[in-house]
Amino acid sequence: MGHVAFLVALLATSFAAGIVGAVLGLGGGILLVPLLTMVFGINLHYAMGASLVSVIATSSGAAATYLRSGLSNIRVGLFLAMATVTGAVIGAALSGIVPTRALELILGLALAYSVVVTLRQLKVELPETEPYDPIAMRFGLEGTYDDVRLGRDVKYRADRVKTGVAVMWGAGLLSGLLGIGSGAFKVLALDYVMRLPMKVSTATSNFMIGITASASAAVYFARGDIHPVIATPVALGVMLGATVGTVLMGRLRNTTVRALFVPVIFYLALSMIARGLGLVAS
Amino acid sequence: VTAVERLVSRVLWWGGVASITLMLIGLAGYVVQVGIGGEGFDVPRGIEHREAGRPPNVFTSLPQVLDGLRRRPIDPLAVAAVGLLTLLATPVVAVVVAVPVFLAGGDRRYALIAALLAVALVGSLLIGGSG
Repeated sequence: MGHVAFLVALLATSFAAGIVGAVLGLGGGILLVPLLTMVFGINLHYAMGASLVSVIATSSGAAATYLRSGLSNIRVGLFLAMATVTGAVIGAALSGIVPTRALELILGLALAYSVVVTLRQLKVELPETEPYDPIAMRFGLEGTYDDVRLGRDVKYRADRVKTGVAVMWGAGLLSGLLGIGSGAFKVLALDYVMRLPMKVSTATSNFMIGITASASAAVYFARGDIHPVIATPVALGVMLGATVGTVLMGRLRNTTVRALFVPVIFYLALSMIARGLGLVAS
Repeated sequence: VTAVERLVSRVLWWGGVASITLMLIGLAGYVVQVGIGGEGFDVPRGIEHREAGRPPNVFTSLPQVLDGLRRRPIDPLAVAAVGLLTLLATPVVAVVVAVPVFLAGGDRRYALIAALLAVALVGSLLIGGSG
């Protein structure tokens, strides 16, 4: 493949990953890494480095919007980012030593799990009781947001903060290890463990993804795993795709359209697992 | 929406815009360079073997990037790398600027949390950038 053809193919693939990622509510990163390695034969470490960069780019844009609309809770985000950043730096350092096959296996499992979480997200409901977690009270992990669909202000407070912090640390570790945003895992901590409203969880996770990924990206950069020829078109493509995907999302109310993508992602996940287990040549 | 949310939102937005602009300029320059027969990234070798794609194709530290910027003709990939580094620094700057705003609002607890995070992030960026 020629230089320019390679760049155009990378841009197009990343654009597609950005759209599908936004429509499914996953980040582009977790789709990108398998695509870049399996379709283009790009070295796994370069793919992870490029993915991390694209993750920061999309998160910055989305977080800027969510913060202005008051959906992202900056206190909850910063408080939990202490856990994700610690995990991310350790994960990023480990990803330089962990064998490629093991990384592929973990990535496949994380991808499969993310799809399950995404499917679960399709039913959205508000937490009903008001919890009294002492850490949440002390650190003001609470807020109010204007729910457009319900047409009223919704008050919320975090619950089970200790468990939330532990899950967040794990999400950070995976982010650094695999070069992904690990948004599905962050949302799991915010929504499922800490029982924050789904919209607040998604918006706050977006804000945290950029902070977490920039901590790991510094380690990747120092290792030489962020290659400008690969990372630049990938970041631009994913950003563009995510923007288009978000617009599409507003129109695609039908969940069956989203469900169409799920088998594709499962296929990607299984392929990565098979590579990790050495069942197919990587 | 509080003052700190507005400011952090603005930093993230403009940091993103600045880095994308730089990446686009760098990438366009690279296309021109390889288009006129200049030496480009060895695709088949570099994508499979990490070691084959080492400098000058990959910038692993700020001094190397600066070196590429000083080269004449300027190395377009160095410009793209500045864009990448700007992007990496954007969330870090957002956390750093939150510290004084929290302090001004009388929220010392969150000023401290943001400061701790900022130290961790700036630290990893500095170690990464100078390594």
